[in-house]
Amino acid sequence: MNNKLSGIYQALESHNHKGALKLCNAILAKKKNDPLVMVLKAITLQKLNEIPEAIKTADQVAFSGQTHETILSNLNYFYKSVDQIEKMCKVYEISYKANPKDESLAKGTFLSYVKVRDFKQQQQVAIDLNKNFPKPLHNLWYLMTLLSMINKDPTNKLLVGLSQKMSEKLAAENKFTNSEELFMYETVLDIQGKVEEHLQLIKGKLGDLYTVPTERLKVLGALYTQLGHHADAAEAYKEIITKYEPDEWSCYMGYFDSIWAINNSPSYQDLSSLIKSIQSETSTGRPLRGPYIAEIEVLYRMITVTKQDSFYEQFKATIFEYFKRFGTKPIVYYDLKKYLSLVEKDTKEQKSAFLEEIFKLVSTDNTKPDRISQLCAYYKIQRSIGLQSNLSETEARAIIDVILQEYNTNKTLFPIQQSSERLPGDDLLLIAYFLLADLANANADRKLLCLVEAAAILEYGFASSPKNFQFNLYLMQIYNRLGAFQKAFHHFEVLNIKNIQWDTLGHLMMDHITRNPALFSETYKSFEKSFKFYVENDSTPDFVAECYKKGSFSKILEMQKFQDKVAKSHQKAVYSTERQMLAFLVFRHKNLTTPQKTQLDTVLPSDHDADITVEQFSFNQDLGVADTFHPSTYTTPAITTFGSTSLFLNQNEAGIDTQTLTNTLQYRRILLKLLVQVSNTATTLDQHTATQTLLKESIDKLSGKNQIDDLLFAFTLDIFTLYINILDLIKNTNGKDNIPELFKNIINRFNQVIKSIQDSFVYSNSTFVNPNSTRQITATLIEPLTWLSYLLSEINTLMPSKKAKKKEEHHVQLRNEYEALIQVVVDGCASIQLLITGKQLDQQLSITTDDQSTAKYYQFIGLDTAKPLSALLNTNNVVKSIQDDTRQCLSEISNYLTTMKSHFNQIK
Amino acid sequence: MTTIRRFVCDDLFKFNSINLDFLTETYYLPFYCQYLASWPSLLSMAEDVNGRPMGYILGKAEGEGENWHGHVTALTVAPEYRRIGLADRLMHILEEGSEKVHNGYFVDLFVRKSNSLAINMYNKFGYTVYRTVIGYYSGDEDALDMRKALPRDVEKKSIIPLKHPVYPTDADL
Repeated sequence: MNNKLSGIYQALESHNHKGALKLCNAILAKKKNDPLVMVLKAITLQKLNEIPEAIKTADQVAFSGQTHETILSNLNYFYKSVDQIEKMCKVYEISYKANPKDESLAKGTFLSYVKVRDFKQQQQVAIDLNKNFPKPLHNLWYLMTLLSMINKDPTNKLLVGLSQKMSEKLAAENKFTNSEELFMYETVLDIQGKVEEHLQLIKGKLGDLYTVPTERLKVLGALYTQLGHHADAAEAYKEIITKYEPDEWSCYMGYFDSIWAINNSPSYQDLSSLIKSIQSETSTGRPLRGPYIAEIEVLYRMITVTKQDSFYEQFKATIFEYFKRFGTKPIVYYDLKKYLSLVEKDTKEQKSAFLEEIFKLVSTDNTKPDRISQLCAYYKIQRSIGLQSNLSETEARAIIDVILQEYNTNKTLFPIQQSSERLPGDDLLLIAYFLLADLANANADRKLLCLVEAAAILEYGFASSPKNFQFNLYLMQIYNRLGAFQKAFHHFEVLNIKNIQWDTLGHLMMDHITRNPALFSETYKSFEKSFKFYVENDSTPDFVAECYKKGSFSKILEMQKFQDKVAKSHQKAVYSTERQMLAFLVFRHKNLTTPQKTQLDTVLPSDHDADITVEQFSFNQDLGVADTFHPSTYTTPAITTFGSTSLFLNQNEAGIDTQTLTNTLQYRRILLKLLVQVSNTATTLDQHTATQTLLKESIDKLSGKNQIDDLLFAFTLDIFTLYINILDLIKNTNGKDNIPELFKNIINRFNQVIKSIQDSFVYSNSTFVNPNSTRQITATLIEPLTWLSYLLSEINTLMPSKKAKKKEEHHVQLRNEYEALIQVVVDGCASIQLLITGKQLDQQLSITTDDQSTAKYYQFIGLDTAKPLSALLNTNNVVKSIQDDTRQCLSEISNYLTTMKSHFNQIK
Repeated sequence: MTTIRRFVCDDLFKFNSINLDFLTETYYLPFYCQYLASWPSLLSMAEDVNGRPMGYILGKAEGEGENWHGHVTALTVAPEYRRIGLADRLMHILEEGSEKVHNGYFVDLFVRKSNSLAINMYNKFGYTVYRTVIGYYSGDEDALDMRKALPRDVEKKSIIPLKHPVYPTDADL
């Protein structure tokens, strides 16, 4: 590489894009249309966001038969970056035609079609490859291409037949050399339901391609099962657990499934003796759990499948034995979870007796490390079988006190040895948290107090065991419930989520920070980080091509499916829309000199495409990351996002409400679409009206669940309806009679919003700001008023002023009503500001006041030194966090309202 | 009570209970895609009976001639599933893949010199220190390159320790 070229690369690497452009132009002045420099110039222009010019530059050299690998790879990079990767097919086609003996170009052409999934062309090039460059790999590429086509259209019998013949031919010619290649033949047989043939294939010589014996046996076991050859399946699984992997649970289950399929009432003795022999053979070294839990599984099946209740006592006794053996391992709870569901169905007395037996197995010596681990398992079992359900506050607190004492004792005696480790008793604190959350959910009056205490317990856990991310997960949840969003965000930051985790875990926080003016800048940063991940997915087709090159055929369809899931991510769609909605909000307030139109011009049609259904999204959110030890009957009370429809996730224990999430996204996209349409003067009245109808329809789908949300919906609809009607009046003199009514409605709605905020601003009978208030003000006041101010400013430019010479009577009336509305809005904003300012002071004062509720509150959170809890927990810090967060957020809100008032006054 | 299977693309959506752990890195998407596309038999995921991810191993096959070997890139187990022998099982599966699928001479891995817990663990699994790589971890800390010979290396030549430490540039990484 010459110095000038390396200069360009260096400038690009150091993000000196202007410098890179200068260097490119300097070389091109001497070597006009040098293809590599032209491509580098295109890349540079793309970085400078001059996309049309960049594409034009690349196109000038791309289709003139490039053969140099560097040019081709840079072109690939460039077209991918401008979302025109399909052009690479043409690039390669032309290059290959010009150099028909160049195998690498033929392969490049094939792989370019792989990347864009143009199967038809892929097939053509594969045929060509096999003809001109006959190699086993090219045969395999052809077969995989057929499988891709069948995957897209499973009804295509012609292709299925072709793939069968191709597979047979390759097998006959010994062209399959490993299990990745054989995978294709197996798939061809599976597609046709040819299970017997598949079995014979694996049993035969080609089965030897499974060089890892257990992999072959697992395939055989599954095929025998499919064919109903349960005895053979049992033998295959048995061979694995007795000869190779005595701890492989899937094979124990495969074995038991087969045994029970042969005979619904198998011999317990036979099964037991097999398991005992495995236990005996694996008794040296570290004890394996598989053979012991298998003992419980057999008894579980004797009770639940064979219906022999007489095994129940033995079943419980075996659980006790298991606990005795493995009770010090954190995994014991997860191992037993399934079996505890049987115990859960017992009477309370029976369950208590069961738990008592477990407790007898817990070491009584708290100076030994075993006790805390066993206690953890004990309390998790207690919760899991329902013995922590519906407890009185006294009962729950008795458990919490014991838990905290045990935890503290253990922590003192056995501090963390490695800073990256957890304390073994950490799960006890989660139990304490769950108990307090239960109390909070059961008793509205005690809710705030219980949650504060629960937060203090989790903070204590976090301080004691800082690398246990479970504390961060639950602290985020609880601080969001308490309205301490910044504190919640702090714990989100501790998690340090990266890359794909923005897709799977972003929902934990994004909903809340997009509603908190004090965190808007953090929200922006989070959006940017998340989009970096989604851009990464643009490279996934390159790795599908890599699968072809490396012969990893089992991964091709899997990777393409994954690519689609990321591309169709619901979370991604929400981020895209909300990023624009937030930008609109912030631009309006923070940067009045930037025309709103400029921002709205950047909105992509996909950000406001409202024609969406649940089916088109992939819900990739990870809901299983937080530990829970709840009984099967436990249902998490829906976490209501008071005052605004949740943007990201409505979650309960069973999963997520994907339909509501889709409806909400649709509603938000329609709002964005309306704003974009308003910004575009070419939008016709009919287009406005059509979108307004969509808005109404989307609201119909969402309304009726929450009073405040309903008010927000009605207010929002009024705002846009008013705009459209005024537009109609100004342009067509239509709807004169409706306008006064609409103004009246909107003023009424606005006053209702104000009253709603005032009524619920403080937490019941206290001086504390309601945790949901800040969120509610942002969602129901700031955001809709931002839209209103934008719409009114647009109207203001269309409407004749009072002083205008050419005006109609209705123009005067309109202007009067317009000004009256603005006055009401400005007054309303002022009243909320007054409320905020007053309560900010109250919040501070409440720390020292002695009013009844506050006294009760502070007695609870720490002044009662008789409670051991108070010695350990710093509830004051939690309260201070809530106060600080609220104060800062209210201050930001007040600033926004000031700007808002000024903005409305300007357009008066 | 563990099921070990091949790591699949969709595991990236649900490996958070492992990856949120302080010492486990969540890489860029192309990193995982590269491994999945190149060495599918050397990537394994362990699940508990409830389908909950317990831990995983990511490895690759690399080298030339007698240096052709399996390499452990990442081995991680979620905190609640530690000390039950899971790492041992995952390593065994990677070793089996390195031997029977890739026909390698040995398996190697890099570990921080200060991570005595991990070094002891790998010793138990049959790994010995082959060499020290100076400043391997961002120039801050040395790495120990630990190896275990596979049956193909009949004379166990691959694990004869080097007498002197090497710099990353000389380590043929």
